[in-house]
Order: sequence, then structure tokens, then C-alpha cells
Amino acid sequence: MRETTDEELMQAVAGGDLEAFNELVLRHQDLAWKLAYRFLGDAIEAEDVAQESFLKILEAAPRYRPTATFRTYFYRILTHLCIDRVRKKQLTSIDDIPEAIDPSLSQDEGLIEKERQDQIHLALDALPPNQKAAMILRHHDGLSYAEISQILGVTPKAVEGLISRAGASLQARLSHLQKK
Amino acid sequence: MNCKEILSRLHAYIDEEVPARLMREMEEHLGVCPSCRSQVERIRQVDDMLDSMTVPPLPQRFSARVMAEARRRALPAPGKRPLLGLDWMPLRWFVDLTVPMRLAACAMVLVACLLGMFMSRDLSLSGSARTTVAEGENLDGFEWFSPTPPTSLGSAYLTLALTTPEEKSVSR
Repeated sequence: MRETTDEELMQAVAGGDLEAFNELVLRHQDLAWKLAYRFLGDAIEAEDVAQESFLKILEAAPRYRPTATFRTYFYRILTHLCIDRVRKKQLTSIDDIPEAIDPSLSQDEGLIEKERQDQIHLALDALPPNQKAAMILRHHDGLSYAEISQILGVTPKAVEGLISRAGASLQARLSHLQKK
Repeated sequence: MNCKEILSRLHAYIDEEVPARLMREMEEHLGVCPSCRSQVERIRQVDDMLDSMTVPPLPQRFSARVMAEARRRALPAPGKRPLLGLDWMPLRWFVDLTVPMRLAACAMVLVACLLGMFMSRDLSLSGSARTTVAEGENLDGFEWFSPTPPTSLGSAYLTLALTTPEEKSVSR
């Protein structure tokens, strides 16, 4: 038996079917959580934004038209919520980024790994929000540049530019973590 | 292609997001340019770092919390619950429209009302201005042009429209 598509579920949600909405949540919650966490780097913020993105699609369901895939539609809502959250809170200032990890801080591998993860998050946080979004989406759920362009509302060429500039910034900030 | 052009498109090259012809040109260049090759390696290292970012597991009962909030928002406020548990809402379609569409719908209803009032204006007239059914049949809807001043364009049009072919041939 053919599985109901996301777009069909959305049409059911538009008719007030909360079970269809529950099915959409179950299908997309893992990827929504991963994207929000990678973007915000904070579990409470990420859960809040992921939850709000699902409630937004519930609210917008009557106006939903399947002109793009549900996945692209949903990620667009989620990504813009993340960008808004970052802009409002200004989570990290560029000046907060440490220059390098001091290897003498700890011999414990777990701590070093945590420090490394923090460095990556800080380097991402230092990017302008749209560059950060493009770079995170590039590493998320196999999204193509065409899909990222729909999510961000820019051209595929602009996506390439955003990713290229973000890559150059990250390379400069994370050079101390790279293998020689 | 020179190194500058190649470097600006290396991410797209790695993601296989460049056209096939350009892909071949870039491959040829990378085959002979150690500097650009090492840049590809550095980009891949950053990519590996981003891919290695750990994400904690999805919070427990995430979907349950979303559904609880969804049900809470879907229900009307206690004071506004419909009688007999019915949620019949004949103007639901209107609520679901965007604001510009709502304004357009209101404007259409207003225009329709005004037009209706204008067209039914004569029905309320009394005395000599009132058109009888028989006159109405003869006028075929041209009563809107009368009364008109005798020398006006409207009067001329009315005369022309109401003249039968026989009368026209006689007048010639």
C-alpha cells in the first residue's frame, strides 16, 4: 500500500486532521531537531524553535499550496525561525571566538573533543546568519543548492556565493584544528 | 580557467553542483595545480569538522509536547466553545483567506450591494416615472436612458435603438 505523502498529509491537516499533523511531526522531528540544534547550539533554544516550526505549519496549513515539496516548505519555516532567533539574541560575538585551543588545558580526550566541538560552534556562530544557514543546510539531509535557494529565497548562484564565503571564514577560524 | 576562477567555485565542485563541462575543466586544472588541490583538501577538512558536530538525541516526548500545544491551540477558548459541541463555521473559508484576499472579498460584496441598490432604484419610484410591465417589455432594458434631455446623445441612442426596421425604411 502506498504511503501517504507529506503533501497529502498537509492537505488533511488543512481540513483539521490532527492525526495527520502528528504523522508529519513524527516523520520530521529528528531532522528538525538536528537542524535547529546545529543552528543554535543550545538544546533549550533548539527544542523551542523546532516546536514552534511545527506549530507554524499547523497554523499555515489552510494556506499551504504544494508548489514546492513539503520538506523545502518546512525547512524554510524552520530556517527563518532560527535566523530570527539568532538575530534577536546575537548569541555570540565574533570577539568571543578563541584564537586556538591550548593543548595544555587538559589531557582528557573527552574534554578536548568538547573543546573542539565548541570551537566549531563558535566559528559557525561568528558567520552572518544567511552564510551560516547556507553552510548548515549544505550539510543537512542531502539538500541541493536548488533546494537551499528555495529555503533561503535566493538564487542558486547566490547560495554558491554564500557557501564559498562561509567556507573561507570557517577555514580561517578553524585552521588551528586542521591537520597540517 | 585560472586559479582565481577555480577557487571561487571549489565548494560547488566538491558538492558536484557545477555543470558537467565545467566539472571536467576543473578536474583538468586540479590535475596540474598542486595549490588548488591543497585548497580542495582544506575545504574537505572543514567539511569533515562540520559533519562531525555531535547533536544530542531528540528530547524525550518532543512530539507529545508539540501535539499537546497543537490541541490547545486548535481548541477555542473556554468561553468561546460552540453550543452543543458543534464547530460549524460557515465563514471558515473567509477566516482562512489572507488579509488582501479578505479586503478584496469585502470590496466585491460592497460593489455588488451598491450595484444592486442602483439597479433597483426605479422599482421604488412612483407615479409617472414608474415604468409599467408593458412599457418595460417594449423598452427591452433601454429604460435606463429615459428620461433624457431631448437633444442629448442618450436620447438619440434610445430613439435609434427603439425604432423598428419598418419605421427605419419609412423614414428613409
